[in-house]
Amino acid sequence: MNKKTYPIRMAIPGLLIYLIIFVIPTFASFYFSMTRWNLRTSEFTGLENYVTFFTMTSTKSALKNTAIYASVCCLAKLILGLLLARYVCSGVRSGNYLKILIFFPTLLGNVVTATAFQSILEPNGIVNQVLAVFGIPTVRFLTDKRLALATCCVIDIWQGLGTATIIFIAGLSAIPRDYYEAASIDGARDFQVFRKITLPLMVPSINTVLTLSLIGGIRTYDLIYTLTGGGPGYATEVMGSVVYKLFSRGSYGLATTGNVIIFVIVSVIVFPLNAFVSRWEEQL
Amino acid sequence: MKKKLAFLMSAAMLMGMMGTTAQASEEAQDFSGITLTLAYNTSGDVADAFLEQFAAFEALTGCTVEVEKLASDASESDSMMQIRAATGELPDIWLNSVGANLKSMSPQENCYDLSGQEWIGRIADTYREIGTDDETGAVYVVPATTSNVAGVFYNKTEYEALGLEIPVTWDEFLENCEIIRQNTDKDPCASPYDSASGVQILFLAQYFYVQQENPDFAEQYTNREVELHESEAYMRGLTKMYDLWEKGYQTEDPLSLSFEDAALQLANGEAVMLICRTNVMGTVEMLAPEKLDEIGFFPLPDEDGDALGVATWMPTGWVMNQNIAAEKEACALAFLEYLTTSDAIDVYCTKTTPTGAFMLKDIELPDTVSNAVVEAQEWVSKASSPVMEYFSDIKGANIATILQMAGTGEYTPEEAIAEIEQDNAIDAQQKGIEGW
Repeated sequence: MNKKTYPIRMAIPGLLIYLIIFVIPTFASFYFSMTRWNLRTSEFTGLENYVTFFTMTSTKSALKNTAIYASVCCLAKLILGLLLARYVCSGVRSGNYLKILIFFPTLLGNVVTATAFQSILEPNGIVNQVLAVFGIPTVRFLTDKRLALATCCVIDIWQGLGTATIIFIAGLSAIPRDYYEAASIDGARDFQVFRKITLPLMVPSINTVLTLSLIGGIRTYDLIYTLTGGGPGYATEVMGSVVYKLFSRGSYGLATTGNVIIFVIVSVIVFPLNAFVSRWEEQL
Repeated sequence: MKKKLAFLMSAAMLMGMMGTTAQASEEAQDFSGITLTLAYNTSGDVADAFLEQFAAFEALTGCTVEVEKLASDASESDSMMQIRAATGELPDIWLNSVGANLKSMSPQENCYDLSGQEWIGRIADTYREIGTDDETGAVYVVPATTSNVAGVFYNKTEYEALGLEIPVTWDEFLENCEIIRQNTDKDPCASPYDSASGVQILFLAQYFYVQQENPDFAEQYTNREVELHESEAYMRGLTKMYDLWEKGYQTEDPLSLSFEDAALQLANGEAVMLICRTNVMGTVEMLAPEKLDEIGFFPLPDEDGDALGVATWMPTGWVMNQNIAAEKEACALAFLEYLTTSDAIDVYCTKTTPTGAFMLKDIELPDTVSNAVVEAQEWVSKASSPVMEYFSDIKGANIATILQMAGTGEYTPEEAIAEIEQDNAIDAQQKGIEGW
């Protein structure tokens, strides 16, 4: 077979765009993460920024919170999304209506969602008014340090569940009916059908949802920042909000360091995970 | 030097308040077809006042003013402007903080030198000094709003009902709080800590006492000759926040209390006192205008009842883009000139009652200025100092978070100061300040 179907120069425009908007900025940010930078001039400081970044009080909370936030949200979307998709595709009469209902929160912007929940959850908000009817004292969803991160997770799951479910629905619909018919003729039980047919054929969808929601969780910023600003104290500080605060104080070099660290964390977690899930897929 | 500057600032604020003759505006030019782009981060009634001024200028000259709203957090919007300066995306005119924050804009490259304009003399001398480049003598800023004075605002009706005296020391202040706590179901001192600005006021206002203790504190700190925790006056700022929390004199859930709600609580008497700046009177005027006269002012008390004073903030100012398109230049200059006239100030005052001095010469303030503002301005002339950020650029990224924790008992003052020092050190290092 002739491998040179197209001359290499056909790829040049694409490669150029990739070089300009991805490769150069990536390497530039590696460089700037090791500088003291005020946007006009930069001074090389070696690994000083990395040391500084990890000694900051906010970073320590942020690393922990980001890990909790990303894993909780990712797992919840995976499990709830799969259950919802199964339910919607199980031939219930309101299936189409449910699809719209589940997908709707995804259409809202993160800031819109956060602002809406802020007013719903505030001490005099509708949720607390309802709780008061049952004699439950005011719950400070966003300003109690024990609750704030959990509240943010729930809101993120509410908003992101739609995407996960739609991906799973697409995955489920793509499984040929024949397999199920054959299985039922062979007398397979429900669990066996799920374990041997549905799950293996759903792995590509699971992989997509897992990757997307994990990356989204690690990089999260706007939803949390609008909801709590990283507070109370450092209770909902995540990597994204640490970087944002540094940027807004004009510490551009250090903020870039934070961004590079997020990039590295995402790469270190997501690529091996992806490879692992793909291998799993082959085994099933 | 610092004392002199502080004195001059106070004097200018007072003169701004007391000026008598109104300035007539120049013959209006025709700027039809020209669009000025303008960016600011103000909201509320002051933003309404700006819009009214822009509309008046449009009507006067036929130009169009295109407004862009920036993030309401000052350090965030200042930083945004720095980024846009670096990428050549600055609007024609924008609102900028003065002092150290103006310096980080690299004004020599980005800001238009207004020193040659004949009307520049209308700006109060001290304000002009702050907006002047020491090396070149270039002037960059035209004051946009009014100065701000920090102190304790109190509900006079509640004070009378309880027979309370105005406290002159922090201990007396706490005693008053205790009486209010014991005898009423009201909050002694509202604490709007939900925003980054609200949580910093008490702490920053303490700077008057810091510079009383050591007039060169800001300079020495910037040069790293003194640490923050070494200043007892500085530490007392944190102790005061901690006191209010520990003794239960503040709002039950300070992190959920917004500045607007706190202002309303003060006006209604749900909270008896509120430590904030004179701009609160603008908020009260908007939310509960009938209560304006019920609110009084006294300085944030400290140790010595005979050495009371207030901390002040200079108004933010309009800065013009040095690289403005040639055809817009005359229009932008005319716009800034217009903003220094009494006509523009009159228009401003139709939307909001000033809560401080305009920092323009010969501008008469309307009679509608509230009592609390007048009382605060009296303190400005008696004993005042601008806050530390006009003298030192060092301010860490997490100051608001640390103060929220000190104000809700998460940190003791000692823990808080250690965090602040570490946070500030990072900022100073990132700015490349010598010695850090």
